[in-house]
Amino acid sequence: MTTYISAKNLSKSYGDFKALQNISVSIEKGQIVGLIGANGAGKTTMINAILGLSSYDGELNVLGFDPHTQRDQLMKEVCFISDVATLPKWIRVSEIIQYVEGVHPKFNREKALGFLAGTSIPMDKKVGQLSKGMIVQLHLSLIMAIDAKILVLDEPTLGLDILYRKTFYDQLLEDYFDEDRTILVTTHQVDEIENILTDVIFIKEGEIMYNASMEETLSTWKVLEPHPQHIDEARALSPYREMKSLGRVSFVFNNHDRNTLQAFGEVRRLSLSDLFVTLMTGEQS
Amino acid sequence: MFSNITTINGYSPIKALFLKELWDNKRAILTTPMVVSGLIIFFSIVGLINGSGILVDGETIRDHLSQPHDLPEEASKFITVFIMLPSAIIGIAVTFSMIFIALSVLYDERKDKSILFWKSMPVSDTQEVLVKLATTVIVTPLIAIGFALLIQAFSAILFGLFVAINTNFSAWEIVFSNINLIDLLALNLIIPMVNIFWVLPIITWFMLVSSFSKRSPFLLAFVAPILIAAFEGIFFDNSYLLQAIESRFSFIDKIGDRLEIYFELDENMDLLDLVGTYLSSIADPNFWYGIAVAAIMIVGCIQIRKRNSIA
Repeated sequence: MTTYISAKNLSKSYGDFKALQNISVSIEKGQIVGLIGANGAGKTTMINAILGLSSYDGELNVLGFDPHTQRDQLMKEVCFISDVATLPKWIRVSEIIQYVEGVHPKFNREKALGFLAGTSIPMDKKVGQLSKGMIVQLHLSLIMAIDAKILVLDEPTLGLDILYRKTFYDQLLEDYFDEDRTILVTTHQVDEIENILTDVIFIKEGEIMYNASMEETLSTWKVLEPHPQHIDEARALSPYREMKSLGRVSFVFNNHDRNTLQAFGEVRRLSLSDLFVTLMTGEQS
Repeated sequence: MFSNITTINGYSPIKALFLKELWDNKRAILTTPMVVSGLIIFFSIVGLINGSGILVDGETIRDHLSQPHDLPEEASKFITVFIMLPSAIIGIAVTFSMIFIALSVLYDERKDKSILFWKSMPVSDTQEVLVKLATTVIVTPLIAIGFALLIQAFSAILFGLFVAINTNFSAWEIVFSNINLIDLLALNLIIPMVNIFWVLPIITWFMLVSSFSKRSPFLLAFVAPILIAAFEGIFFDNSYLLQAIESRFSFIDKIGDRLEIYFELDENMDLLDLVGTYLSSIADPNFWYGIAVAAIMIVGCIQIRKRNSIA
């Protein structure tokens, strides 16, 4: 395995506020990592440090570069979409393609034009005249035409309607991702990216709460929906958390054998959003 | 050939950065001098057709030319005034363009968050800031000078036609033989560029303000020095800041006096003399103090852009 991003005791403070506290993490080649946390948990701070957009304390190595002092070199290998609205409004579509071709040695114009041909984006319009969805399509087309090792997406689909959100990730997987690339994505729409992630990191108050592969997550965390007559027996197995919805009771189990649980009812996978809530609210029973 | 300059094919980062600034500031860099030139040409034509619109020493052009003068010695200077003067209007307009660009060049990208896009590209903050500086103090004036030269060529032709049609003199003798192309180029290029480098600390101050200002860099850029000067006035009875700012313009003042003498038409002064005096001002240590201060401000801009991402 090749480590693309490695952080040791990464910290960042704004005055008294500790945005990141001693984060240690390593992200490998070929992973799609979801960085998930509440507002103000430190996701964007961590991403900014990785992208060289801010200073930090501790050790951080991205593809062998120190991001803060070597951002310009790092950006030959790293692409990012920070927000839906970072493309300058005054620039024409044809101009922004030329610009990226001019400054990025790994940009492939034909590829970008190919992606754009699949959209209805007019080349002579200014970015400010495009719809929000089109701007994201344009940004994605530019980014996917760059042969980079790491792609960082910070809330890339914020404010988009559901159709664009869906195609955004579909296209990313189909036309871009391969085993030599790594994608790091933060989003509020956890359910949307659950199926494409290989790994997940939960972050709370500047600290990593949970960091595991999806495979491991699925095999250790389960939900049991017990038959009504087995509720008390299931509860006796000391579940991690009890959930109630629409009058039905279900239990979240950590590290319990599937076969044991199946005796009491239906066992299904725990969704990432439920896992997030479970871990954030803490152990209940 | 022109499309080779204005389009990008393949990897050429510096060119791409300059074109980006040009696209972004098209109004200030291109449209402003173009519109002003158009207006000047329009009013020159109207003025000359009327023959009474433009006054020289209280006389209309027609009157002035119909009187016998000590030709061609005097005509030469008169022609120079006539040809050069409209360019001063472009100079004034583009000065405003430059102030506007300097104040917005590091502010707008933070305000509209596009800085995050620019920073996602493999371009260093140093490259970005230096290209922005060069766009403000070199590209913008050079394009304006290009327009000024066009207007001067147009004025010369127009004036030649006027002389040929309205007077008994030959257009060649009065107008075209009096134009010294090298002098004209030297005047057009060297005077504005030397001026700009004298006031470079002021321009880079505007850029510095635009790099950190949270809102309205325009206000801050002017209010801060006024407050400092007022503060100095109260406590020291003397403003070092105002003196420093004045020192930027003292040379221009001196040159202004010389220009006046030149245009009074009775002093035997060569145009190239004027350019020479201008160039020699670079030897003044004051000039280099200014360049040093400007360099410090530019380093400040680079460091701030490295740290700050969004306004």
